[in-house]
Formats: sequence, C-alpha cells, structure tokens
Amino acid sequence: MTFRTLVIGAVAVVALSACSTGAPPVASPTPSASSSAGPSGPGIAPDDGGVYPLLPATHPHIQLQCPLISAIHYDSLVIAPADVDGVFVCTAEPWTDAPDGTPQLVQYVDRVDQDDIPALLTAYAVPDAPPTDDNCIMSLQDPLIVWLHVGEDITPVYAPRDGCGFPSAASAEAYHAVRLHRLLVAREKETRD
Amino acid sequence: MTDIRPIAASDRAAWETLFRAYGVFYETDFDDQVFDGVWAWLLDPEHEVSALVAEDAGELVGFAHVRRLSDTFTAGSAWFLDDLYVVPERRGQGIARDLIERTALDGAAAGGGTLRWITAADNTPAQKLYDRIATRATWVVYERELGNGTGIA
Repeated sequence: MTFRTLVIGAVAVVALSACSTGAPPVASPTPSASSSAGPSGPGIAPDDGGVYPLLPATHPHIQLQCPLISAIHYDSLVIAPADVDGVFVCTAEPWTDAPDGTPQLVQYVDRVDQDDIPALLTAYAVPDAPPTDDNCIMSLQDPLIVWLHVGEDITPVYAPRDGCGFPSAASAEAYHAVRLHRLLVAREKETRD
Repeated sequence: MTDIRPIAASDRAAWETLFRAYGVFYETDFDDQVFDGVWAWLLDPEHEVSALVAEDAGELVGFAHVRRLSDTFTAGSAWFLDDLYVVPERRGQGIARDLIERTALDGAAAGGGTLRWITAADNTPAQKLYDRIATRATWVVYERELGNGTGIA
C-alpha cells in the first residue's frame, strides 16, 4: 500500500462519516495526554475515531514535538493564552521521487511565530458551529491541528468547525496566516506491502 | 523561512565567519587552530560536540554548538548549549529560540535529560528569551584555569 492509496482510503472514510451523520467526529473531551494512541505506521493515524491530521507526521523525532493523539477543541478557559509557551505545526507530504524509488513521507516541524499566537488562539477558541441540515460537500479537509506546548504538557487542538464539520473559513484563514519557523525536516520510508 | 538543520561540510566558510563574530562578542579572537579543531569535532558524528545552523535563502544567519554530557544524577544524558549566535541584523526574529527548540528536540530524541546553558550576566536581551522558554537556575558557576600538563614527567 502506498501513501497515495492510504490518503484515498482516508478520504472515503472521513467523507462518509462527516456527511452521513452531519456532524464532525467527536473530539476527545479529556486532555490529550490521557489519550495517547500513537501512530500505527508511517503516515497512518490511530483508528480510534479521534481527530488527527489527514496525513499525520509519524516520524519518532517529530512525535516528540507533535504527539499523535486526538485533537480537542481549544478552550481558552482551560489553557489560557498567556500560559502557552509555544505553538507548533507538524505536517507531512508524500515524496514519491525518492532516489531509491521507495515512497517516503517528508515531515516538518514548524514553530508558529510568537507574535502570531494570540490571533491564532483567538480564532481557535471560537466554538464549533452546530451541525447543519444543509447538504455538505463530499470532500475531505484537514482539521488544521496545531500543538500547544504549556510547560511539559502538549495538547493538539483543531480548527473550529463549520456546520459540515470542516474548518471554518475564519479558523482556516487564521491557520494559514501565521508565520512559521522551520525547525525540523524528517523523512520516513513506506515499508509496508 | 529560516530553516534549522545540522551543520554540513559545505558550511565551513560561513560557519567560521559567524563563529569569529561570536568570539568578538565575547572579546575573544579565535586563532586558526581553534577553528580547525572545533570544525573537526562538528563533522565527527562520534564527537560529543555537534552543531545546528539557521539558514535563510542559502545564507547562514546563526548557529548553536551543543555538547552531550553524562549525567551522574540519572546515569543518562545531559546537554550543554556551549555557543549560540544569531547575526545582529536578524536578532529579535525568533531564530535563537528556533535553534534552542531544535537543540531540545534533538536532545529529547537522543535520550532526553536536561539541556543547560549559561550566558553573560549583562546579556539581558538574551535572558529575556531564556526566561520565557527555560527555568533560570540558581547555580553559581566557578572557573579555574589549569595548566596543560607540559613538564610533568
């Protein structure tokens, strides 16, 4: 199985769950540290119904900064913006032109510029919209997860959702507006059949 | 975007320029023997000293030298950030923090432990950053210059 097929498979699963119920997957109500599922393989999120990136960064080095645990909605009353030491974004993308021909996952750790954190957290603190009865487009969108570091604790939070369960326009705009500092690039080979 | 990455052989000239400027900041004029010796350490994967560099558009704008230690309180690893430098025109842009964050991330991946560093007592701009991302220790640092063993039978 390649990353491409993995992604296509994930698309089908998420699209069905988002539109058949009209509601987004339920995020873990508890702090992330208590629900460490961990990666199940390169580029594979745990199959536990949690909220994960579409194509998660699973490299062990990156897991230290962005552990693959189900993201929750950001609540500024639980994690005050002033207590957030740093915000990190960990992403991955397939690299199919590797010299040895083996598909790889190129993965990144980026730090959100300190000056951009307040606006991002303000946008992420907006409640999810209630599920809509309108027809939702059959598509897949990344939950735009960012990892909040508060002392020793790391909590992934997703972008607030619209009625179809996808990141709202405002939260997506905030996510894409932040300036990033690249800390690490890692590659992971696809090793499964 | 500034990238943080391990130092590479092709960085020699740029690294030397930055390291020389770092020495000037601490009123030290390194000679060629120091550059050659440290550089050999940095390229030796078995040596306890390693380096990260900050690169922007093909230009090095900062570096960090970190040293792996053995921690007798844990029988594990500890880390010492020996040198940290960002070119003056790029300070205040988070590059020093990026170098420290990557140093911490690499240390965690290589066994964890505590990362420590010292700075000049009057380097208040740097301390402003350090106070935000680490715990200020209460240790007092002592130094004693040693002979080099020449003349001992």
